Amino acid sequence: MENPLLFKVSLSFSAHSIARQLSDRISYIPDAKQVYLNTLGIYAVEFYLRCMGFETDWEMGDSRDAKMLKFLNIADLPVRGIGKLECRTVFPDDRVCLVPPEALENRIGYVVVCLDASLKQATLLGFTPNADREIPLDRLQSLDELLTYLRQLNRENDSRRLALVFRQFLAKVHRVFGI
Amino acid sequence: MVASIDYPECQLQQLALEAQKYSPRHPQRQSALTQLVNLIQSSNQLGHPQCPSFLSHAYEDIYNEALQRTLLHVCQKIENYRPKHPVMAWVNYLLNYHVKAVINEYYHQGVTYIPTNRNDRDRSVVLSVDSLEEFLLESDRSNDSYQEEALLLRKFLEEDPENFLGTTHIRGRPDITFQRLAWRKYVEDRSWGDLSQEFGISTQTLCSFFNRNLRKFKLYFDRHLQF
Repeated sequence: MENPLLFKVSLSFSAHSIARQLSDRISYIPDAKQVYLNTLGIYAVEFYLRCMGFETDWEMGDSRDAKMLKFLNIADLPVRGIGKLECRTVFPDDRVCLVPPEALENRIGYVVVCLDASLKQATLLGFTPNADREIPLDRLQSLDELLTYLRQLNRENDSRRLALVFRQFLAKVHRVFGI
Repeated sequence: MVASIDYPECQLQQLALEAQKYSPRHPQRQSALTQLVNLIQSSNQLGHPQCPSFLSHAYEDIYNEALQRTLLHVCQKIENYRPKHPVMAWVNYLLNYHVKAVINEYYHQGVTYIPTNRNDRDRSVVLSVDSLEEFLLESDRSNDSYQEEALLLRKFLEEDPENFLGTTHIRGRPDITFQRLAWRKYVEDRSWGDLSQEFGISTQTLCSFFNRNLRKFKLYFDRHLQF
């Protein structure tokens, strides 16, 4: 394939109205703004993943829970059967993406989304499976690699689930037949 | 008919047919769809369906919303594309449909899309960074409902009616309770770096303890706070 492709997502009513709903619950203004921007970032990543055939459970994420958002700067997006991606936003002049410490746990990876100043357009820049407090944008892996990574995790989870079912089956055989 | 198809259309059709060959999530399908979406977005062959004049101030947002829905539709239902039509004809047909649907929703649910300041009809719900800051500053966050919610949460953290928050602490550090951390975070708005210094313990340990327990206490919070 040619050069790694970025992915552009328009942000309109549906993105902004979720952002508004969630940020409306936050009284401290800087936090409300952060929640608003985080929500737009998650929306863009969710849109991309749905286009690529993955299913997401954003409603189940901590990032949709107003009580969690009052305490934590988090932007998690659960991908069904795979795990949680953290979606962090930057602006066009940024060279690094900051990840707050509360968003460093229980994540399978970090997707970085660039928002333009009009907040009408988001561009998915890439991802990294592991992050420290700062992600240099020139070290991001491509979206292609993100998809490969998600498929691989999905396969691993599938085989783990199968192994579990098989073990449970053996245990049952053992109980019933005493072998 | 095929002869009249120009270069980008030819490429679009190849990509659409390529995507159709594979099951969802197949790498070849994903790659073809990504290229297809990029090409559709950059092609200058997207239509601009009409919009009633009383909604013209919101046309760009209506169009963007409809375009998003169209692209999602294309990706999720690429099987529905029939090669006897040009891809752009199919895309524009969908776009037209979605613009109508969005207008319908925008019109009927207009109130939710127009900001609280209803006199200013030009301001859409889609805010830029600057207008977001303005909006937040103008929003009266000192009003009763915000004050009341903040007060209830403070009171809950302080009183800890079922005595969970004050008894849950970091292993080996009975002085660092969940209650204390929550108070520092929510009421005093302190940063994790700050708290790490104060308690002489790593940021990661603090965060990890706090995250885990905040999730654990979710039902406890919900039992006592009705918002």
